[in-house]
Amino acid sequence: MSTNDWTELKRLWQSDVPAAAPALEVIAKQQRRAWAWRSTAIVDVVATILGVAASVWIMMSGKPNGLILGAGMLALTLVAGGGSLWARSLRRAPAADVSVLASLDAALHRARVSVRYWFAPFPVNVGYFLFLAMLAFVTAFGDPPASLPKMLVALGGAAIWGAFIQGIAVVYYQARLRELARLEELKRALDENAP
Amino acid sequence: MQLQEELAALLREHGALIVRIARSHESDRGRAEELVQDIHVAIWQALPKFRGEANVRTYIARIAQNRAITHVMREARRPRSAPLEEIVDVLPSDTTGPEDAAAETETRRRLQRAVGELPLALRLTVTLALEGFSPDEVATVLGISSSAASVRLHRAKAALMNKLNSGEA
Repeated sequence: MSTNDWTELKRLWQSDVPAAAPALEVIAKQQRRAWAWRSTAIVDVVATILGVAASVWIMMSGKPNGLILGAGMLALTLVAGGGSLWARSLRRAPAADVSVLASLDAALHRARVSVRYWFAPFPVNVGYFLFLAMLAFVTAFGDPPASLPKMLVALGGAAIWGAFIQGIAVVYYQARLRELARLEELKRALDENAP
Repeated sequence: MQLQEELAALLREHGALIVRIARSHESDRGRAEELVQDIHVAIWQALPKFRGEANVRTYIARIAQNRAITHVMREARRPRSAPLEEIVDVLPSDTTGPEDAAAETETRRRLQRAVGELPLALRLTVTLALEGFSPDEVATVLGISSSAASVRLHRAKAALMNKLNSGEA
């Protein structure tokens, strides 16, 4: 290719001068979204504080099983609050003006974390289903409680819920794996030492 | 308000660069416009942190290419529709007659199609080169060394010329 060819291609390329007005409406929408996102953060913090307060109150109420119920609620509240905080930290995008490779590295990091996030329900659900099975065995081999039908319905509902969560996790896990594979392929192609 | 004025001023000067970069990665008219808007938003978000140390053009190209890559990754899962020729504007040309103008428009379409068909790594590089960026500037935008940028530029230009000469585009 001669220099003239390339100069002509550059001229031709740059002779296309499309105009595009600033996307002010989209920017305004983005600003509203940012406010909505901040306000949901406030809701999360308030809900966590209320949850912790309620858990402590239940534990100190002196009611039968109050300690176990309160501790369970406290654990659930802290896991939900912590999970929400973690999810927010994942959503924070890297600076827009970093180099292409740095931006890709950040995207890869987020994708890997996302894969781990969607893998988490697998072992958690193993424990969850073992717990449900243990409850079922204890109920079957112990003295049958008066509310056996209700308990069976609750166990069935809990199993369906676990299966539902697992199903969602499988779909998202596979999607995140595919995304990660695409990003890794792109990283290989753009890398300093790419062939 | 001041930010929006700064953005408007930047886009007056570099708006065409953004649209050309967007179109090199997206052949569908509607999606190319969405990508341009995404880039505008990203520039607007990044503007408060811009201290002026970097060359403005390089800064904008970096943001545009980053958004374009995100777009390409996201769109890889969606079906394609309109071909590139539908989104190429018919523009006034420096050439004299209508036949010359039509020929130039057709050549430009072929060039844009050929660029759009290159693998992403080469497309990123050749787009910047066609925009007039030096190998050092290409290296800054991509985050690779100048020598690697030069090698990739050479390969990208060769791949582009090969496509144009073979009549694939």
